[in-house]
Amino acid sequence: MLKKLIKIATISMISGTIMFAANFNAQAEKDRHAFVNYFLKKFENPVANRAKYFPYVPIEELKKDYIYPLKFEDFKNGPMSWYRPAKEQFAEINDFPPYEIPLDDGKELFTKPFANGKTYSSCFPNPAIKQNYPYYDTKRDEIVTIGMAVNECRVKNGEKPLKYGKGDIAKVIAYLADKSRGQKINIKIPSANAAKAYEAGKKLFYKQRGYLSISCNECHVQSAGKRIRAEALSPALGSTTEMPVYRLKWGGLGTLQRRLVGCIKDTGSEKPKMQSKPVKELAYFLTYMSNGMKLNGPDTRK
Amino acid sequence: MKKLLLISTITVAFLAGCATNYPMATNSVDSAIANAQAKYNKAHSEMVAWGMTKKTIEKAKALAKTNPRKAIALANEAAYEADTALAQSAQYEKIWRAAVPK
Ligand code: HEC
Repeated sequence: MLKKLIKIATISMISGTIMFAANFNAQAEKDRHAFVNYFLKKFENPVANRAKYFPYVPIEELKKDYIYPLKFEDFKNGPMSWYRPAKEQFAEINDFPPYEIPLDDGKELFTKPFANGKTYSSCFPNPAIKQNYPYYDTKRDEIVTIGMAVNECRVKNGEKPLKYGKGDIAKVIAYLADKSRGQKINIKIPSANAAKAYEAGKKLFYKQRGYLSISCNECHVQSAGKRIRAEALSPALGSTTEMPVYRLKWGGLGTLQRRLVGCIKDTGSEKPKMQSKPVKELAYFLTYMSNGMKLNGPDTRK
Repeated sequence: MKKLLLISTITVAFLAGCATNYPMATNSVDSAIANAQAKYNKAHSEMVAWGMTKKTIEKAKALAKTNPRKAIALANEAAYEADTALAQSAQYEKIWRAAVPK
């Protein structure tokens, strides 16, 4: 009898944990569905829905320059998803993709032995793993970015860590990204603290900041599909698939964190460190929003 | 007499208002810089500091000896920015959720 009771209690405890575990991402999934739907509706027919989404864009421009209807996978091309002039311009540029040389460098770095004779393969036996980053490591109780994983691999093998954001680290990540091309983003929320990190990233995304008192949301959700000066604003949906990205402005590759820190600075805020907790949380949230989308990095941007 | 009392009350209230709302009332370089630094530190630790506040404090520090008047003005400007950044954060803390697509 007692045995049976213990058994029942154990089973219910285990299933309780499982049920609870499955719940850590309940809010995030609600958010993500609403997020995806917003973009699908907004770009279903900008001409017909002009009054709701694009009241200040001239109708001729909507007809001539806007690409629609956009489907889920279409959103991964940044401004080129919806803005025809940008798409045409970049199709030409990508005839000879400027990221190809740094990508080759990345392959060389990846395969070249460290001083101890091992290579990055010792840490990444299967390089098609970028779809899982950034992930929440429940043992360490922190978000691990792909840049951190690269540097931890180096340190484990007696090498100095690389500087984050650009240069060799972006090249190695580009190699991993290229090997992960076509994999679907698969970010998980495995614990209560992971859910907290997600919420912190969400707040950073939606809350106005800086002396411009502006939020990521205002530019990349509400104003996605509009132009700001000479830029066509990209939808936040799919905005991490192409990382690391070759930017013409940078004249080289940069990581997701480099872009995020740049956009945070552009709100008139102090520039945070690339691997700081808030920036990692923002990356975690933003990447989660594009769950299920296929990776297409590295790619080229203005 | 009543009128005098009223005027003096208003003056006192006004001065008190100045002292709390406008750091301009601070007149020593060191205290102006310390005040700005403390406020900036708070905004920075909450990750809401504005872009130029830290630089403005550095400029104030560099001018503290050679041009204390300018240094105080800069420190007060930085303190004002940090204050505003903190107030902005508190304000938007209450409303940001309304912007999340439902
Ligand atoms: C003032 C408007 C503005 C704000 C606010 C802003 N950005 Fe941007 N962002 C841009 C512009 C302009 C670009 C370059 C064109 C584009 O991709 O939209 C860009 C590009 C990006 C990209 C690259 C997208 C791609 O497909 O290449 C990401 C990711 C991004 N921003 C994230 C953010 C995040 C996160 C925030 C909040 C911290 C933010 N942005 C705030 C204007 C803004």
